[in-house]
Amino acid sequence: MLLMSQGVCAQDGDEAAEFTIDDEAMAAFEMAPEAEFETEVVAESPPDTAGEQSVSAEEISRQAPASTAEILTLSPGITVVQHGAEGKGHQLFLRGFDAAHGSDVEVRMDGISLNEPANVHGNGYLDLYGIIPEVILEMTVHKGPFLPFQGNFATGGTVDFELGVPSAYLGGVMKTELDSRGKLRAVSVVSDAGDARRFVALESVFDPGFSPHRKAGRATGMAKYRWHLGTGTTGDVLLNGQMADFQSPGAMPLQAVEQGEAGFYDSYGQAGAGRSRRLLFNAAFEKETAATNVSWQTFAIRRSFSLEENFTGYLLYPDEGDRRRQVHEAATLGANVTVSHKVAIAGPLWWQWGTGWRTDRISQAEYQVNEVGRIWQTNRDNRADLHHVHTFAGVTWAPFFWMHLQPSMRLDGALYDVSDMQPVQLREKQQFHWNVSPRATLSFPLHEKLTLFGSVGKGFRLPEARSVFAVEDVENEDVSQYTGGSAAVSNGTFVETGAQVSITSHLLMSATGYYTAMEKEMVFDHVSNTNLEKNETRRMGTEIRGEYAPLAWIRASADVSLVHAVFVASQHRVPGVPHWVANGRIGLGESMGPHGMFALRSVGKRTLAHGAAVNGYIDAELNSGWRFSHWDVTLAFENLFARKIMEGAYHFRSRFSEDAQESALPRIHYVAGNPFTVRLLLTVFIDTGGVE
Amino acid sequence: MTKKIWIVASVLLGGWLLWVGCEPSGEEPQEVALPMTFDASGLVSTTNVAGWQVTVTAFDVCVQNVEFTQEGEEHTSLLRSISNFVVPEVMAHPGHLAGGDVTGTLQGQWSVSFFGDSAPLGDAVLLEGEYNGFNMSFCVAGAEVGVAADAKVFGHHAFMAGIADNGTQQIQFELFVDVTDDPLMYGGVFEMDVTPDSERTLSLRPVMLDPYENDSFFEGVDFGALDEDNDGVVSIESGSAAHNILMKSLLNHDHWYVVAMNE
Repeated sequence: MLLMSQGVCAQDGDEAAEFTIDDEAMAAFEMAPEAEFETEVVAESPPDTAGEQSVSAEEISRQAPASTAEILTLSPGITVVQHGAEGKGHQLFLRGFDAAHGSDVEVRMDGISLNEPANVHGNGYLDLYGIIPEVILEMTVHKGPFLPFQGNFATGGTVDFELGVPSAYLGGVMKTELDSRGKLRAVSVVSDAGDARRFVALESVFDPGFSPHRKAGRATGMAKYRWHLGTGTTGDVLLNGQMADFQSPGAMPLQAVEQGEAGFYDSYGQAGAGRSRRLLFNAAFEKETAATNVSWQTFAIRRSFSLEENFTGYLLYPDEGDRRRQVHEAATLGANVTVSHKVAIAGPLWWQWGTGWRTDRISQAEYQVNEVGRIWQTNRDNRADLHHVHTFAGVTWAPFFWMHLQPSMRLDGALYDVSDMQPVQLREKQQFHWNVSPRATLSFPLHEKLTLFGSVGKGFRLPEARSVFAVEDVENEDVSQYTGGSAAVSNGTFVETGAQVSITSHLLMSATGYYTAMEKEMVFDHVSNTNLEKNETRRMGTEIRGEYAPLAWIRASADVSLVHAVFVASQHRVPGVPHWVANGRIGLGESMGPHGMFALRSVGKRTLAHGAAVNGYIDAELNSGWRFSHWDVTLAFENLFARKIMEGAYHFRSRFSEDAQESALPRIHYVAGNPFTVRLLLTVFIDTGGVE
Repeated sequence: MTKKIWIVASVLLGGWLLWVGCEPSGEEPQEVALPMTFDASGLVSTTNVAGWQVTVTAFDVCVQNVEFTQEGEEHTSLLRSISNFVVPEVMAHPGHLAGGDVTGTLQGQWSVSFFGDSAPLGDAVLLEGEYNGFNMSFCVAGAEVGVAADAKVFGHHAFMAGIADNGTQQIQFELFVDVTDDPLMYGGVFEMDVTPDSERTLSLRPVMLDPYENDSFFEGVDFGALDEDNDGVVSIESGSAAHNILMKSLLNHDHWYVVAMNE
């Protein structure tokens, strides 16, 4: 993190700092009136890696996000696509990975991985609508898998959300948002004025959709309570529930729009339909002393998800249509333990050891349904128990003031016990996978204004549960019967280097370069029910970021991320990955009075499958408001330049007429981004928590 | 001076960013139209493991909807050999790498008489790219594809006639193929780098001898055993074991090629 408010004391991995400030002091620090909108640009203790970035609650608030997914884009290089409606998981791109619905981005909420192994709609499926943006204390993005706690799906990186009530909202807040298209969002937060981690928050959204087939309604509740059990000892309980019912518009052929057959925001056929429910419970304990830190958590998740979609019309099934219903039920139990201890040898040295266990019991099915919802074919019907254990060990050592080392080793093991209920004869199979991930980070804080970084590590993604039934030798088979290659762990080698420099007291710059090599990447395509053993891929890129705060009431940031992701053999680019992404933001205002923010985002050309490509787009947001002592009114403009944004772009075949003789070659399909929208936000502060 | 540089740079940058997002547009790969016909050069005499040398004298088949495929970025270990090469048609979907797709088609139905005078199939349309396979399906020959009611293939998916000779016995046979399940052939061999400048003619070619495994189209058939009345004439029809063996041969991708011909 480059631009720090003093209210945030320490970053993950900055062990020495964490152990010298007790929790009460931390809380008091966060509550201090000066904590908000402190603008001096200071490089706090350096992050662990060049690609690590923390985003404070203040920065999040300035963005006025309507969902947590929008916050992800505050980190350079992350692209988020919604190809359904509010309630469906997003498609994510990070460092050249098309993470689909989360297969290459690990997201943790208070340490709990939210990625769903073997979700029926995609391995690692992420649903971020369970997190209310107003109760995020900090988002930390660890790009690449270089730290020992980064687990399954962290090939692109890990995003950590720390829950708590930002100082500006301490005591409580009620926020109502209404936009020009009729979308209504209401948030209520009640918290202990003296402790950011004692709160109850509720969020509800009704969205009629900016175009056909995008209607959605959802609600989320979060309650967290922290007990202070003594100096440095805390206990946390978190209860989180979410529900969403949403439509899905599918993807539009660009050609149909260009030829005037359809409007840009139109949708073909019948609306898709989704239903998402999740209930999560977490209990955590942490004890910190000057020499030892012990943390423990156990969690339980109940998940229910169903989705009906049709992206290809009548291509596969000219009579009944290609509409497909996916149903997923899961129950999860897990626990994590981490211990850090200071050792008295030359230079500060902390050793760290952690272990964890997670079991997912899954029941899932997929059906072909016709337009009236009648099931006419069962594609699959599976039960699975997935047991995943991990352990890691490492040290954090600073032998010299100018050198910090963090080597580690991580071991993961996964036992799959899967039943296929679909054939006449029940099939059952057990399979064990394991993976070793050596990692190391090295940083050189050569000067208070300059730090250099170097990191290397292995990242991995465990295979999907259904893939254990895959066999290799198939001839003359229809695609729907072809079962693809054998299940295997996908892993790769990651290297990163970079620098962070304070050019002046008001200007910070960072630059990062990275290289990733993935061997024989295994992708389970749930559309063809096939393990696709992809050729070796290589990704390299750079991220450059600067922050500038010349005055107390103005701050600006800009970043650009370039990526070149290719399949080694063919040199074809990885489909869908933007060649570059650039952001610029200017924020104005202080803790009281007028405030505003202008953000410009430009996404570069995207190469698609088969050599197709779509041009980039630009998206601008502007918000402006006035903060009074107990309320705030803000007007926000989304897609300020009223661009027609192809947020998601793909190249595939479809046939939306019932004429089976119609030729169907792959065409560019897109999912439209938000049109120009005006949003009014009214916030009432129940108790300002000391901010006057 | 410094201020001017910043102003100019800002204007240029802003203009560039605005230009980038002007209108939604894309670049589709070039479509290439290639005429498609057929040839009988692969209908050579072959000898099966049972010792029957088979010479085909007539082969009529009803085919429809030819699809041309690129292997995409699937790992080459899947392509253990051409003989068991299968291209998984991954129906692209948001969020998924789209490889091994159908990127060329020739839609329609045709009755093809490989030893007769059938018309060419038409113009296939393919996206530029490196092709590795093709799919097609078989249809029932009828009046709608111009087959006369008295033609032997009429009412069947395929008709074949020929002579089987094992050195001591010679049998004339007729084969009437009626496909019972999906009449689909996946993963036929088609190797071509299609560019916008390609001007070659594609030719559908059945091959009686799989050049990679040396399998005859007639493997598993003992023609002598079929000639129960020893009259030297055999009719192989639906319901018999020999029919089912040869029906599978007809659907086997080992025996179907599309070849790019020099005019």
